[in-house]
Amino acid sequence: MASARISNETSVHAAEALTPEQVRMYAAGFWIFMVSEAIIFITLFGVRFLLAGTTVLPTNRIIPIATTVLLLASGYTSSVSSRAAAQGENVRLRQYVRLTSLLAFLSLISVAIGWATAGLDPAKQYGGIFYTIIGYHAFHELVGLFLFVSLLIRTRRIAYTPQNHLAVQGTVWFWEFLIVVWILAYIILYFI
Amino acid sequence: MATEMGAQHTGEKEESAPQHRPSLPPVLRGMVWGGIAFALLNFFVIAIQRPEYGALVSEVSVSVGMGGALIGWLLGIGGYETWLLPWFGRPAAWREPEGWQRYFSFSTDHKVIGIQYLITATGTFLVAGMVAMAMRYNLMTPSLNLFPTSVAYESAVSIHGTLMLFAVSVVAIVGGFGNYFVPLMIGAKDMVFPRLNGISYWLIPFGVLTILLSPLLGGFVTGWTGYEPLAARSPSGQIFYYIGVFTLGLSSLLTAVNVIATTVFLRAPGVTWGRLPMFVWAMLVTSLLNLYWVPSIGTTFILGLLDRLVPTDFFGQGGLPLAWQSLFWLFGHPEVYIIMLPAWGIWLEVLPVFARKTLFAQRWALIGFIVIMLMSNLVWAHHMFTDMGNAEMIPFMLFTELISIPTGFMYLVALGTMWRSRIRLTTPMILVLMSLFNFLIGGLSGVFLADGPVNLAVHDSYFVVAHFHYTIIGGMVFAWLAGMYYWLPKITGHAINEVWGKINAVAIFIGFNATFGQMFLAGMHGMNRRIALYPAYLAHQNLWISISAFVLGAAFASTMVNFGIAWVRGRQVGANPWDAKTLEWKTASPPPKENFEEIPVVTEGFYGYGNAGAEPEIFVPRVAVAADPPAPPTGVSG
Amino acid sequence: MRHIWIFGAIWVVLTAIAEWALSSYIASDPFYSVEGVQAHIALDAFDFLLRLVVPVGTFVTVFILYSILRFRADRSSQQDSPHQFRYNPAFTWSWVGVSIALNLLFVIHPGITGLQQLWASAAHAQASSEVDVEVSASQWEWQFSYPQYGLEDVVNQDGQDELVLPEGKTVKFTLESEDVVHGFWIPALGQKKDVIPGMTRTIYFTPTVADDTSHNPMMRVQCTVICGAGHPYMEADVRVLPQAQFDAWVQQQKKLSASGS
Repeated sequence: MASARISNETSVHAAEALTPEQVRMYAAGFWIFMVSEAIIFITLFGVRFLLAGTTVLPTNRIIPIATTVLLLASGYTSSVSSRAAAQGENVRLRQYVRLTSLLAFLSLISVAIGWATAGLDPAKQYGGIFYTIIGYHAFHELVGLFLFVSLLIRTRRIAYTPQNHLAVQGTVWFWEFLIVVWILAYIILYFI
Repeated sequence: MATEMGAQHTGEKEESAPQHRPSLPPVLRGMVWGGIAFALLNFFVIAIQRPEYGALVSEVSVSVGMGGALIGWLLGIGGYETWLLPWFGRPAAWREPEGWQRYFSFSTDHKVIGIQYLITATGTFLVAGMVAMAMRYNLMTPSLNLFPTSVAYESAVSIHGTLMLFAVSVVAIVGGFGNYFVPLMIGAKDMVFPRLNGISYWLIPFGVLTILLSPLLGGFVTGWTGYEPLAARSPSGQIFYYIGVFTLGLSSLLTAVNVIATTVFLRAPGVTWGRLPMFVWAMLVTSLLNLYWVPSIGTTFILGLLDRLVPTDFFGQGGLPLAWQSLFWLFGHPEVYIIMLPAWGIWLEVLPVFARKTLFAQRWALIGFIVIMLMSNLVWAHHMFTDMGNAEMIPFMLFTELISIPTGFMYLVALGTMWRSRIRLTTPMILVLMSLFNFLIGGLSGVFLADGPVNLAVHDSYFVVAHFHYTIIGGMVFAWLAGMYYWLPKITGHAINEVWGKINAVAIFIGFNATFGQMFLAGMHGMNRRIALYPAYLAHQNLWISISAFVLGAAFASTMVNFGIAWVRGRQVGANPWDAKTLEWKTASPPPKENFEEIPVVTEGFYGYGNAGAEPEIFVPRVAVAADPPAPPTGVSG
Repeated sequence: MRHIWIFGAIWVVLTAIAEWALSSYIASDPFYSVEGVQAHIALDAFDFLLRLVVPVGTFVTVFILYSILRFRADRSSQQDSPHQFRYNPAFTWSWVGVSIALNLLFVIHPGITGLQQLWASAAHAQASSEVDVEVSASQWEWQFSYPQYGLEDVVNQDGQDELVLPEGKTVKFTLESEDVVHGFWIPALGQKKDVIPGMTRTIYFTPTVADDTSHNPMMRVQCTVICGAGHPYMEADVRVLPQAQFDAWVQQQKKLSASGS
C-alpha cells in the first residue's frame, strides 16, 4: 500500500487499485446514471415549450452572464484538476479543486441573486418554469459543490493515482454536464 | 491482484476506528435519525413561514421535512458508515450483521437485497390487498358502509393503486428476482455497485410508508394517476403521493443503473449476448425503460408538488391540465411494459424447464422485447381518447394495435415451446400457464379499448379496471408467484409443498377470474371507476364481485402461509431440483456468499434440451470474450 | 401431423361454440339495450371485434389445454422431449402475418370506419343545428342550459338538475368545466367526453328511444373522471321525450323561468 505524507496531521494512502476493466465498468455505470440526469432536463425543457411556448419575459439579464462566465471558468479549472489527478499530481489537484469550489460557490451566489432579482410571477407559465429550471439546476449545482468540497476533504486522506482517479473524474464529468445544461437553459430561458 | 486487495483491506481495518455496531439496531436508528431530521427541518420551515392559527405543520414544512427524513433514514440505516464516512475519505466502518439481522440493515449482498425486496413487495402487496378487500367490502352495498365518507373511500382507492403500481408491480420482480438472479444467471459474484444497491432497497420502505401515512394529512383523492387540477385541490395527503412515488421511482432508477451495468460488464466467460438468459434480457430491457422514463415522471411529480407548494400553475386552470395527463402517461404506458417484461422473462425461463424442450423461436421473443421497448412511448395517448379530437386518436389507435404484435411474439414462443414437449405440471408451470391465459384475456380486452368508438363507450368504467387487473394481476402477479414457486427452493434451500401450491394456484385462478371477469360486465352495465356508491341496479353484480374478491384474497393469504411454512420447515432440496440449465442452478441452494465456488465458464446456451444443438440461434453478434473474467466489484471504490 | 389435425378440429369446434355462446349471452345483456345512434356505432364495433377476437382467444386457450393433456409427461419420467425444434417458419410467419393483418384490420375497421360514422353523426347535427345543450360541470353538479330556448340550469319538480332530450334528434352538447376535470357520460347513449377546465368540448348524441332514468338507470349523466368527494354523487337524471312532449316541456320551462324571475 502506497502511503505518503502531505500534511503533518493526516496520513495519506493511495486510492484503491482498480483494473482497467473495473475503471471502464464504473465509468460506464456513471454515464448510465447520467442518462437519467439528462432526461430530467430534457423533460423540463420540454415542459417549458409545452406550457410557455417560446415566451420570454423581461428579467434581469446581467446576472446570468456573470453566472455563465463563472461556470465556464469553473469548467476550465475542474478539467485541469481532472488532468492533475490523471497524472497523480495530488497537490495541483487540491489547488484546482479548491479553485473550482470557489468558482462554483460564486456561481451559486450569482444564481441566487439572479433568482431574487428576476421579478417574475411564479404563478404564470413562464415565471413558473423559469424558477423551476433555474432551481433544479441550482440544486444540482449545490450537489456538485458538495461533491467538490467532499473531494477536497477526501484528498487529505486519499491520494489519487493515474490508475484510479475515478472519483475526481466523476465529479468533474458531473460538473461539466451541469455547465452544458446551464448553457442550454440559458439559451432556452433567455433567448428562445 | 486478489492478494493485493486483501492486504489493503486488512490494512484499512488496522488503521480504522474499532468497528463497533451502532448503538441502535439500524432500522431503529434510521427511524430516529429520520424523525429528528424531519422535526428539525419542519420546525425550521414553520419558524420562517409562521402560518396562521399557529399550525405546527404546513405543506411546505412537511415536504422539506420529508426530504430531511429521507436522508436521515438512509444515513441511519447504514448509509452513514458505508456512504458518508468513505465519502470523506474515512474507512468504511460498517460490519454487516449476520443471521436474520442482516435483512434489517444496510447490505451490499445482492442476495440479501433481493430477499429484502421480495419480502417488502409481498408485505406491501398484502397491505394494499387488504385495502382492496376493504373497498370491495364497502361496494357490497350501493351505499357507504365501511368507509365513513366518500373521500375516505377515494383515499383507499388511491393508496391501493399507488402502492400496487409503484411499490409492488414495478418492484417485486425487478427488485426481488432481478437483484437476486441477474448476477447468478450471468455468473457474477455481485452487482457492479453493491452499495448503490443497498441504498436503492432502503428507499422502498420509506416510499411505501410515506404513501401509507398520507391519511395523516387527509389522504388524497386523485387515484394513482394524480390528475390535475384535482390534485391541487385534494387534501394535503397529495404531497405524500408525490414524495412517496418520487422516492420509489428513485429506487427503480438506481436498480436500473445497476442491472444495466452488471449485465454489460459482469457476464462470466462464455455468457455471450447470444446466450444471455431471457430473464436477464427482460431485466435489461426493463431497466432501459426505467432509465428513460422514471426520471421523466419524477420531474413531472416535482412539478406537481410545486403546483401545490409555491404555488406555480403548470397544470391548473391557467396552465394545461392535459399536460399533466400527457406527461403522466408518457411514463405510465411504458410502465405497463416495465411491469410485464419481467413477467415475460419468467414465462420464458419456466416454460422450457418444465416442457423439457428447447425454447422455440427465441430470437422472436427478443425482437418482441426490443420492439416493445422502442414502441412503448408511442401509445400513451390511448389513455386519453376521451380528451382528444377524433382525428388525433387515429395514430394512437394504430400504434396501440401494432404494439400487440410484438406482445404476441411472447405467445408464439411460449406455444411453440409447449408443442410436442413433455410437460411436467408443477406449480410454477401451472401458474405460468394461468398467467398466459389471464394475460391473453387482458390483451384481447385491450383490443377493444384500443378501438376509438368502443373506448369512448367503456373508458373509465369497470371494463378498464378489469382490463388492467387482468394484465397486472393476471399477467404479472401470476408470473411473480410462478417465480416464487420456481426460485424459492434456490433462495431458501427448501421445497414448497406442491399439493398446497396447486390448490392455492387453482383457488387464486378461480377467485381472480370470477372477480375481474364480472368487472368487464359491470363496466358495460355502466359502473364507473373509483366510486364509493353506485346506482342500486348494480348491487347484485357488485355483491358477487365482492364475494369473488374475498375468495381471491383468501387464496392469496393461503399462498403466503404456504410460502412461510416452506421457508421455515420445507423439505431440503439440492442445487437443481427442477433439472434446469441456467447458471443459478449450478450452485448450492441457497447460494454461498460469493455465489459460485469459482466463476463458471459457459460453453453452450441455456435452453438446449434433448439432443438439439446447444447454441441458441439469436442473431446478435457475439462479443469477443475477454480472456480474464472481470474482477469482482469491491465494496468501496475511491 | 396428427396432432395438428386434432388440435385444429377442436379449435374450430370450440370457436364455433364460443361464438354462439357469447352472442346468445350478450344478446340478453343490458349493454346491448343501447338507445342512441352513437351507442350503436360502438356496439357494432364491439360485436365485430368480439367475433374476430374469440378465435384468437380459443386458439391460445385450446393450445394450452391441448398441450397439457396430450404432451404431459409421466410423473416418473425426467426425460427431455424427443421432439426438439427451435424454429418452424410456417408457424412463425403465419403467426406474424395473421397478427399484423388482424391488427391493421382493427385499425381500419372498426377503428377508422367507426370514427368516421361518429363524425358523420356530428356533421349532420352541425348542418341542421337541431338542439344545443350547454353543459356546465362543477364540483359536484351538472347544469344544463338550452340557449336556443333561453333556458338556463333547468331543473325538475324536485329541484334536481335534469337533462331532457328530444327523441330522434342529434343533440350538440357544449361541455365546460368550472374547476377540475370531469367526464360527461350517458351510459345508454354509449359515449363520453372529458370536460377539461379552460377548454370547450363538444359531443353529439342522438337518442333513439324515449326513455328515462327511472326506467333505465343506464340512461343517466354520470361523471367518469374522479373529481373529489362528490364524484359518485355527480349524476343527473335524463329524460328522452318524443318531439311533441319535448316541445311542451320547453314551453313549460319557459313559463317557469319567466314566473321565477
